[in-house]
This record gives sequence, C-alpha cells and structure tokens, in this order.
Amino acid sequence: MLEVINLTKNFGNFKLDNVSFKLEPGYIMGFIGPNGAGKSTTIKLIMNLLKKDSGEIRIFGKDHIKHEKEIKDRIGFVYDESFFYEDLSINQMKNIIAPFYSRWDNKKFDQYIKEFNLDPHQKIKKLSKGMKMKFSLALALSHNADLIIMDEPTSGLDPVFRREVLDILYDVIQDEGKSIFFSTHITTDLEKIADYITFINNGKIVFSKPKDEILETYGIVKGDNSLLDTDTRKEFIGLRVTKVGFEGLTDNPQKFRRKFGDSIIIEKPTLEDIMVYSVRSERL
Amino acid sequence: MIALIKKDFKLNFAVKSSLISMVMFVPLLLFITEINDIVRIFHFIVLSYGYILTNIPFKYDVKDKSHLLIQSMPVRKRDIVISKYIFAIISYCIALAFSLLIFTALDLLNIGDSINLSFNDIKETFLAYILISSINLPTQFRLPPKLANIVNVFIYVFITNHFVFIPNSTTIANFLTNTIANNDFLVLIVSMIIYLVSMIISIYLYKTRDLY
Repeated sequence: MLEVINLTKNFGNFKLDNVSFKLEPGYIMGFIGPNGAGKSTTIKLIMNLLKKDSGEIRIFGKDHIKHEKEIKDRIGFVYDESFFYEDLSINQMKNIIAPFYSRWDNKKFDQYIKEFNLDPHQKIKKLSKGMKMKFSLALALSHNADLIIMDEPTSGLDPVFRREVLDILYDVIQDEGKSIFFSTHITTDLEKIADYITFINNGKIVFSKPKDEILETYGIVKGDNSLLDTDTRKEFIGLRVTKVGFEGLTDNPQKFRRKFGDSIIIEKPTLEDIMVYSVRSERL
Repeated sequence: MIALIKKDFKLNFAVKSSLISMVMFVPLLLFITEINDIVRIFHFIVLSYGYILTNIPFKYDVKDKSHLLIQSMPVRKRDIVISKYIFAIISYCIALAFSLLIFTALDLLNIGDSINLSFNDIKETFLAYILISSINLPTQFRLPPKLANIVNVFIYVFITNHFVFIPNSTTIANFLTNTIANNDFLVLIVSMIIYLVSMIISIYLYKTRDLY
C-alpha cells in the first residue's frame, strides 16, 4: 500500500536519513516521534510537496511521482492545519475540490457533513479548529480513498472530539482494502487504533513494527539504585535515576529478570514511555 | 486542468466584496485621476484588471497556504503551471471585455470623455500584459508566496508605468509600442515565444521547488 525505501532529504540543519517502512493494506500505522523528528517532512515527501534527495516512495505499488495524479486520486489527506480558502463557505470549497477526484461521492460528503453537524453555508474562517478538522475528514473520506494520510489530525483537539475522530477511523478500517497512515505525538490515540507503529527520532527510524510486538518486547524496569552499575546502565535504552530508585526502558526485560530476580519490578510500557525514554537516551 | 482553471475562476468571483471593488474601480479612478488621456486610462484599467484576476488565486497561497492543499490533490505540478498560464490569458480576455463594457456604459451615461479605441490599443495592452505575466508567473512558481507577491507588484508597477504613463520613455517600451505594435503577426509570434519560454521555465522551477 505504502512503501518508503531509504528516503533522504537534507535541509542543512536537519536531515531525514534513510527512512524506510512499509504499510500493508487493511492496517493503521501510527507514525510517532517528538516535535521536529521528521514526521511532517516524511508526509510532505510522500505527498510530493518536498523534493526528495534520494530514496524511493511507492504507493499502491507505483512510483509516487511518475504516477502522481493516479495515486493521489486514491489518497485522502488530512493535515494538522487548515489550508482551505478561508473566505469560501464549506459548499464552495467542496465544489472546488470535488471535480479533482474521479470517485467523488456527493452523497457520502452530505452524509458526513450532516453527521459532523457542519453548516454547508458557513464560511471556513468562522469554523473552529475542531470543525475544520471534521470538514477535512469529510473531504478525505468522500472520494473512496484507499489510503488515508493524516498529519497530526488530533493535535489541539479536545478529548471528546479526538475520540470521535478515532471512531471514524476505526469505521474506515473495517473495509479491509483501506489503510491509514497517521502521524501524531499523542501516542494514547494510537494505542487504541494502530496496528503498526513507526517511530522516528531526529530524522531516523528507531523502529517500525506491529504495535503488540513493541508493547510485548519492551519493558520498564524499576528498582533500587544499588543495583545499578556501569554494565547494567548500558543495558537500558533510557534511564531515569532519582533518590528513591531507578526506572529504565529496555528491549530485553527477561535478561533483567534473570539477573535481578524479584528485586526489580518489570512493567509494560506505554508508547509514550518508549518514545520519551528513546528520545532522552539520544539526547544524553 | 479544467478543474484547476475553474478553481481560479471561482476564487476570483466567490467573494462579493472583490467583485464590487472591481466594478467601482473605473468610476473611482476617473474621478480621482489627473490623466486627461482616456485611452491611457483604458490601457491602465485593462492591465490592472488582468493583473488582479491572475493574482487573486496566488494571494490565497499567501493567506491560507492553499497551494499545499492543491498540490495534495490529484494534479501534476506541470498541470498546475499550465493552468495558470491559460488562466492568465483568460484573465486578459475578461479584463478587456469588462473594461470595454464599463467604458461603453460610461460613454452612454456621458460620464467622462468619450473613448475612441483602435486595434493597436488592444495589441499594446496584450503585449504589456504578456510581458508582466511572463515575468510574474515564474516568480510565483519559485519564490515563497509572500515574497513573490511583493516582487510582482513591483514588476506590474514598472511595466504598467512604462507602457501607460510614459510610453515613449524607454527604448524597450518605444520599440514595443511603435515597431511591434504595427505588425500584427510579429506581435502574436513574439508574445507567444515569450509566454512559452516563461511557461517552460515555470514548469522547471515548480517541479524542483519545495513547498512549505
């Protein structure tokens, strides 16, 4: 469905370095990473808004530049901010966008507009951020797209609306031929719906794996500071030491269990834990 | 391609306030201007309308970053560029028709001096318009939208000033208005060559540009 192979883009002060991952049909991939990690840059490269230095992007098995028009006809996109013509109304904007898509479904669009409580005559500049996001979603879902690409769609939204967005995405994915690529730094959203997680930090992919495998592999080890020596410290991906003890992320919790037995506690990490500890270790 | 042209057309006429200001522009100009030559005012109006119509869609790129939205839809970068060049010609035709309509209406209402236009007036405005667009459009496709708009205003003012207000002041303007304007075929060929070269440059610039 979406395959990124050794994608590189150099800005001078920031480099997206050999980014590779693959999203299969019928799955939701969460693309996580801290601010400035390269999430939006990767999405802009996929959408051909930025020119890549090297690497390959294949969507539906085809090169994303050679078959740009054909590919984008099957992509629904949602960005983190509104790029609509703010002076126009919802209906006027829809009338501009609809003719570009060969599989545009007006009935579906009207259905979403009704479901989202949007007034088609309302000017876009009068809509709240949440309303704009709903409109963006309605557009992305109204042309029978096979791949939905979303750049931080839930950032700045309240929890109730965030949950609504996730429910909509969950409905979309019931059609097994469709996939969603979803970038966010709100990792709790992904714990609910994602099948795969790709973690990017500082322009490099840390991992791209099934979510369950990630949550099974990693562990948060907690224990007394007396257990820590130089070798043990090296075993952690990220480590936080306080006066009362240490807490560290590892991708091999069994090794710690064998070494320290019941003198340590091993907990399952959240995606946020994995992200935070990995980023901290890079900064050390 | 047609959807892109339609989009620019809709953007120009979607907002009522810009329509009203376009209609009011001529009477207001006649009222405040000190230029007595009504033909020169006609030239100025045609060039200004053409410029405004071509540039309103670009203004949205500055205000709303809408170029990112368009580029994310099923369109090729090459088609975006070609559609703008086609729309610029359409804009000129609309500007010309609209100006003729307004000046005829003013003539019938006995407002201002009556105007006697020749085919040369249309050729001159067309040449100047092609020149403005041929320089302006590549800047729109390469520079960041805000900077491109500033540069474009300067180009528009510079060329309009030389063609309309001091038409014999420079060798280029003199050459264009007197030599070429007297040869219909040459006008068409020169304009088309300039315009096509500009379009090819724009396609290259836009294809290799990063959009933010």
